Amino acid sequence: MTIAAFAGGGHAEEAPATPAKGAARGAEVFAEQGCGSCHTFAPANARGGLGPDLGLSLDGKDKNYVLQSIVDPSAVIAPNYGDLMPSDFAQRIDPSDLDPLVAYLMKGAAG
Amino acid sequence: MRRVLLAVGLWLVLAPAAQAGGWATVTLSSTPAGVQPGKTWGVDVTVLQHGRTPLTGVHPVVTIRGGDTIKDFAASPTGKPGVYRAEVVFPSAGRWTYQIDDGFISQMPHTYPAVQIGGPGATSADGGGPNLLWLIPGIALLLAAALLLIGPRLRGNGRQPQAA
Repeated sequence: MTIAAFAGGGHAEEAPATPAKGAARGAEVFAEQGCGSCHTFAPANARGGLGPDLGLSLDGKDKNYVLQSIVDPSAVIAPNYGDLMPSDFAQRIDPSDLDPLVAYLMKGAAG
Repeated sequence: MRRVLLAVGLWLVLAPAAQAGGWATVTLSSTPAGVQPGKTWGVDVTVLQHGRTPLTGVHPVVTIRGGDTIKDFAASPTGKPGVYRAEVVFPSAGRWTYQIDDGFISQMPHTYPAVQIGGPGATSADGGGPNLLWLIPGIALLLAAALLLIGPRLRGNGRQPQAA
């Protein structure tokens, strides 16, 4: 339900001011929201081990998939991991911060 | 062999804790990006068991590392469940790393990317434009020098004797 609102709502289509600025904000959102508490993600020096390594699990995935994994994490569960991720990040994260976070994750996963 | 034993030992310690629900997330009210040396980075650290339930009665600690310097800053309860306040000061400019012990499962610190504190490019290590604030004193000096050079000439022009 939530993902329909976000993916269909066009958040992922709204371009941030500049890619560099967006990615920088994305890094801050990642830290502020505590993503690294559960996920390993090399660009963020994050070493959490409860969820999948985002550099691997998001590699090659498109924007909508990455967005869905944030706002509706139960939609697709990574193999060998449980359905542990809180489902309220759509409420916790300011809508304007979603695009930068998605961009940051995509860039990091591709790197 | 010792490494294998160590790994098994760590797994025996950590895995049951994690499987039994012994894990927490840490969210921050801000990151230290843009903080100047000697200035306070006041950050609210929210500790949530399972990423959901505010944890009270724990003692989170923010640890910063730069070169050989390591400093710990204990976070204090704010009165809001699960929210703790740390007043962190990076003593000098340079590249610093920081991590947070949530006070719940201390063996699993929450780690973050390094940040540049003070000086040129004082932003998050992961991006952002360079900080050009350091140019301001230089520009001020140039303006002062220009005024010193041009000032007397202007005054001289203003005092030219009138034709008789």
